Amino acid sequence: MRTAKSILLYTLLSLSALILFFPILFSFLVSFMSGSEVLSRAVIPSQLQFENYQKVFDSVPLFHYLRNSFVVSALVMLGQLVICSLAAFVFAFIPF
Amino acid sequence: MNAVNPSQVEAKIKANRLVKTESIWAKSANIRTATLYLLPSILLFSLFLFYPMLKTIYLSFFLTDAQGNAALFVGLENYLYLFQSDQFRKSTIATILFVLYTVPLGVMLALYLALLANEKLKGSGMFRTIFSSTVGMSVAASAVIWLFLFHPTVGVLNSFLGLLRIDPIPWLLDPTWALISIAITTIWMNTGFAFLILLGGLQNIDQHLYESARIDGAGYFYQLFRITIPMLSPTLFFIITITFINSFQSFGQVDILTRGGPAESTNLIVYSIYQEAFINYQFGTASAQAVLLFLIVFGLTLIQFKFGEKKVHYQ
Repeated sequence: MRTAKSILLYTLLSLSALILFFPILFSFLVSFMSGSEVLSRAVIPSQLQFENYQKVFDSVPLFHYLRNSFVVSALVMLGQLVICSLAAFVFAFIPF
Repeated sequence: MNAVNPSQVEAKIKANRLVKTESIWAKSANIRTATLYLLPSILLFSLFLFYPMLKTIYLSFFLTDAQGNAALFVGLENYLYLFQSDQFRKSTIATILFVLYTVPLGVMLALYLALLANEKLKGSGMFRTIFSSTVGMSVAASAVIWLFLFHPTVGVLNSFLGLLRIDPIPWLLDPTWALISIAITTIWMNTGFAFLILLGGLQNIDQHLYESARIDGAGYFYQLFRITIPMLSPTLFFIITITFINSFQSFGQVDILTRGGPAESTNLIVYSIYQEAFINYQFGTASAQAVLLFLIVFGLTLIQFKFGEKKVHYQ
């Protein structure tokens, strides 16, 4: 009974995880494919190609974009921490 | 019991009397402190929320020039125009359908996943990570991934359907399916967050309740409907309200997947506001739509609170 239950649970968990994670997994797999493989609707790349990564670093200043994102998210995090904790403190501890 | 010293009592009475005769300045000490603490948020809110909101309401009574400056006062004509506009009626219906697709299914899916991942099993940490992984995906990235999955020639969803001997579905090409496709994408994007919140709610439920239920011989579904759901109801209520407001405000996935097409079938209200303002440069009617959207969301949220809160069981 116990094993039957855990087998059922593991099956449901794995199936749900596979379906839910598929879009992310698939985009990861596609990143290693060549153009013709993508067109043939392959799901698993025949070999690991890093050509696409090479291309993306050549065609756009990706490091620059990543740095921009990092600066924005760091500033947002700091600002939110300061401003929101000030406001939350007042609502929680000072009756007004 | 503490022995009470009479002189202490007298001092206390005196102190109480002093409080009563305090000046307004002293009485408002708390309010002044609070204002100081809230000043940064009030400033940000005023600049980026209250001012734009007031400006939107103001603009909704005007015709504007291409720069978005008020040019001619027209009163309620923008609203009357919208009520007669076929396009606005269509986009309202599409939005309501979209909300009906996304909210119940999305919340049920997240609840199902949270119930699964809440079971004490080896490796449940890994599944929890996978189920909450969509929190880390940006709207643009998720929409692009799904755009690729839905693609008529290279999309793999149709090849999976082919394996199951189901005819290929014209995901983003058919007016009915396009709205469903966007709903699927939105549900997928919201699942991670809803899952996390619901899992947190499940873990806050007192385990003793389940123990006594098991001793009484209650089955899984009896426990689910008599303990889990009632105890989870505040969390469920929160997540329903949040998902509801979020799906009314969906924009990014529409812009990337269909741009409102085919035949305006996925022109959700926020996308229609965007088009009206920044493509047609009709800031007046766009503002009127924004005001109407605000009123609809506000009204429906109020109704949810009025009827939903009675069914919510707070401990």
